[in-house]
Amino acid sequence: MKLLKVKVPNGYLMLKPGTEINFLTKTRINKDVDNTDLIELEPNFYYPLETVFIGKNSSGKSTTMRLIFIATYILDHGRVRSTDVDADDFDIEITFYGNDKNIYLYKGSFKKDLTSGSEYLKIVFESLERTIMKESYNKDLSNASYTNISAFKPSIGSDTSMVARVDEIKGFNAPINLFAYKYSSSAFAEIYRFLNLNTNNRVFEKLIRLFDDSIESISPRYENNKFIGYYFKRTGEDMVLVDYRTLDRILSEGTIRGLILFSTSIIAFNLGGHIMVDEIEAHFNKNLVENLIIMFNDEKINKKGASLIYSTHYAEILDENKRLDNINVLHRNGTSISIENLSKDYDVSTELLKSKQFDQNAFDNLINYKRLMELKDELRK
Amino acid sequence: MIFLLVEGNTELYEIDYLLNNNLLIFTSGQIFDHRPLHKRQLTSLIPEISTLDFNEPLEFYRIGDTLNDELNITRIEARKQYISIHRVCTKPEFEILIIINENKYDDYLKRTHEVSPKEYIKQYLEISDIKGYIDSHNLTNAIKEYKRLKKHDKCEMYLADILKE
Repeated sequence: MKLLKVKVPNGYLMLKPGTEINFLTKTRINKDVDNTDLIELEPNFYYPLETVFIGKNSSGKSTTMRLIFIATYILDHGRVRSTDVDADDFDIEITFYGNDKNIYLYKGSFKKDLTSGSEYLKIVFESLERTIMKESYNKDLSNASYTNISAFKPSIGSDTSMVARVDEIKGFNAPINLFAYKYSSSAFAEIYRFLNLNTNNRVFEKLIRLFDDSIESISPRYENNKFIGYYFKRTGEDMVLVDYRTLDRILSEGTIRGLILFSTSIIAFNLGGHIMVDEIEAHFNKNLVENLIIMFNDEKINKKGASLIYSTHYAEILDENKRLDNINVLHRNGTSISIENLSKDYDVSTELLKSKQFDQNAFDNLINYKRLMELKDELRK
Repeated sequence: MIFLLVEGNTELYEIDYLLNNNLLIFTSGQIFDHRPLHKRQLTSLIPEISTLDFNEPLEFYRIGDTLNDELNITRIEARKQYISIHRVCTKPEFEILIIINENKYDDYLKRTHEVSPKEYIKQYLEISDIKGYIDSHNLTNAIKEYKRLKKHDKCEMYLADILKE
């Protein structure tokens, strides 16, 4: 499944009514060059492996990332958590590419159920339509004509849509919340279990050594089929049996974060889907992120064409990105957020590195000079 | 946006004086950081310059004596088309203005092989507190007189050029 567009007809938090996040390519694809940063879903129908949202603080990056997460959550679970939406009503249109090569359009209207106090919004309207890719369609699919899927039964009044049961749209979609692991019972146990379910054990060994090469091995220990802890061995030290809480303390925060990001990505390489990371640079150095992106662009590694959606302040990361149409710049004007596309909405110099242009405010992405001077003048008094 | 980049402390005292007494064609509200900046190059200013609107014209006035070095704009190259650089020279040293103000220019000319303007005002005018002198003297007439006395290259401006009429 590939998320193609997410639209909020009535807005979402500070995103204006009608805001559309468009993941599709927007420019002509030159077939004579290396296009490893794209997946060809169908002949002449491409999808970028990387989508970026960049903007200054409070420009709406987290809001946008949260909306994308909500869209994937609806497709995966058929539900909208009321705490995710922060409003009494919520309308969404999700366009996605199914595993059966159909393009689907899901429309849903949700409402907070004040009487039941449910954790999830109640469905007041929903529909699922479908089409196939046609040459006559615009790049943004704005003229696509869909037909209703009669087999899809809207779950009006319920809090769970049947859309999550449609096998053709199943995918692995993982928002990476790198703060949340601290509150989970064991980040490491989750990673280990998940990775071993989807890959072989050698991948785990290689991964852990990438982040901490002093670790010789970590393996779970079972007694009478009951998990009792991990055997942990550092080079030159004796093997010790530790519980998962101790392991979370032994491993550095950077190692655990790296393990979460890379292991989730590795799972996606094998299952397809989307990895979503808000403020990627808050947790990782530039080189690590660049190398992860290179892995996403390697079809021998990223076997199922998983895509990476992330927000960042880090313009340097974009220099490795050959495309412009997968980079979105967020702005906040007063109480509304707008999303502009580097390819569609700006005249970008091709002679200079993108980061140089970002760092020089070419896309109005830095703090405001006047506001800065107001503060400085006040402090100088 | 106007940038007043001054080369040394003497220039800084004088530009501060002119700005505070509203004698320049710019007001402090119009200039970057609302003050003249004691900077020969832009390196430490880049983060603040970057906060300006991208298509805002950047006018750099470099104020000093001979200003032989070039202003390096590599780090704001993306804004190249919006940048203009002016050299505002007072030669051979900014302290020549004090000599003119004290009506000692002719005397100084006799001693150019022997002392620099900086040394002359110490040795012959016994002015060691330059800041105190500048704060208590309006040098605008000396600045205008300098322009009458000296001939610059075409590409070099005079301090008188940024004085109000």
